[in-house]
Amino acid sequence: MSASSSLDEAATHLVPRATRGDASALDALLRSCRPLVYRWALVQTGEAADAEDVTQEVLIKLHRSLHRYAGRSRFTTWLYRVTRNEALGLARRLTGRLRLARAVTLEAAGSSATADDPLERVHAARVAALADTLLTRLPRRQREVFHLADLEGCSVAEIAERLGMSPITARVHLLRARRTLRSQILDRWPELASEEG
Amino acid sequence: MDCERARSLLLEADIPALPGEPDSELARHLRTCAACRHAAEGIRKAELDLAAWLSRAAPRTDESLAIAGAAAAARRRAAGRRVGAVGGLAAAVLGGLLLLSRRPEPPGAAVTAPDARIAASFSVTAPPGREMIVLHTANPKIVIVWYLPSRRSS
Repeated sequence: MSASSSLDEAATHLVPRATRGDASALDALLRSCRPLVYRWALVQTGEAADAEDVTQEVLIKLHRSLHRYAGRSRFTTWLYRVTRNEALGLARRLTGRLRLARAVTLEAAGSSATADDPLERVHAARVAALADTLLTRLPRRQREVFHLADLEGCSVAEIAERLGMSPITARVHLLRARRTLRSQILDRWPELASEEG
Repeated sequence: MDCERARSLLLEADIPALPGEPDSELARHLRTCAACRHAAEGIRKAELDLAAWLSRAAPRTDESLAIAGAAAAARRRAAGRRVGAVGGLAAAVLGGLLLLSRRPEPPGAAVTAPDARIAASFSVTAPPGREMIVLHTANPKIVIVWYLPSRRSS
């Protein structure tokens, strides 16, 4: 079960209780939402610090505006839009600020590698480079669609609904994103394509 | 299908779905070409690594602190909104009182003999958390009181 599906399932119990004023339900809902909101925000902003800010704003919004979720769409669809609007708002406010996405991304991706393990270091460097391409080289729409489709397992129809675009447009963004990332994979790490397993 | 065409298709294909499409041109080629099959597996592995990295990405702030902070911020903003509403209401009431306090005057009197008593005796204090601008207009009988959110409290 994907993280979105798990959250939708939890939300069916927690949202009605939270909107009736049950503080423990609201607390549990926020704890369930936070990791997923952070990952969405990271993909949308491309920077860890901005993703933290967006995540916190979304939690505040959930506190204040959960009653606005009418239940007509899936909870994660609504939450994704709230997150996306916050990320876009932050991007507008930060226009022109120096971005340090690459450094942050490399740090985050490389943190699991140990200095003693050269293979792990090579692997971590590869993941860091891929993450860098995903977060900083792909246009925002492409990275959103690629993340939802190929990393979270959402259907194209669901992505189109979340992002407010036609399924055909979503598919075009997905194919372009795949082409960019996979070209990089095959060009930079030909050994991946020639090794067994 | 030759390998060049297969590599081109691989760049856009839904690779995990290929085993479910055994009759597709690409799936047939991958069954017979080890090099392209390894390329597909390499791409899939790299994407799974990327997904694993992203699934581990988490905010650095402590979860309990973040949630408590969100609750506190939500309460502060709700309180600020209430103060704003009260301030706006107070401004409206004050404006109404100013208008009501004007005595009816014969037509033309305001033009020929401006009455400066209202502006001179006017006194108002900004409510907590608000700042105030008092604008005296060319007409001494009209004073605009403007409440703004305090820059210090935002």
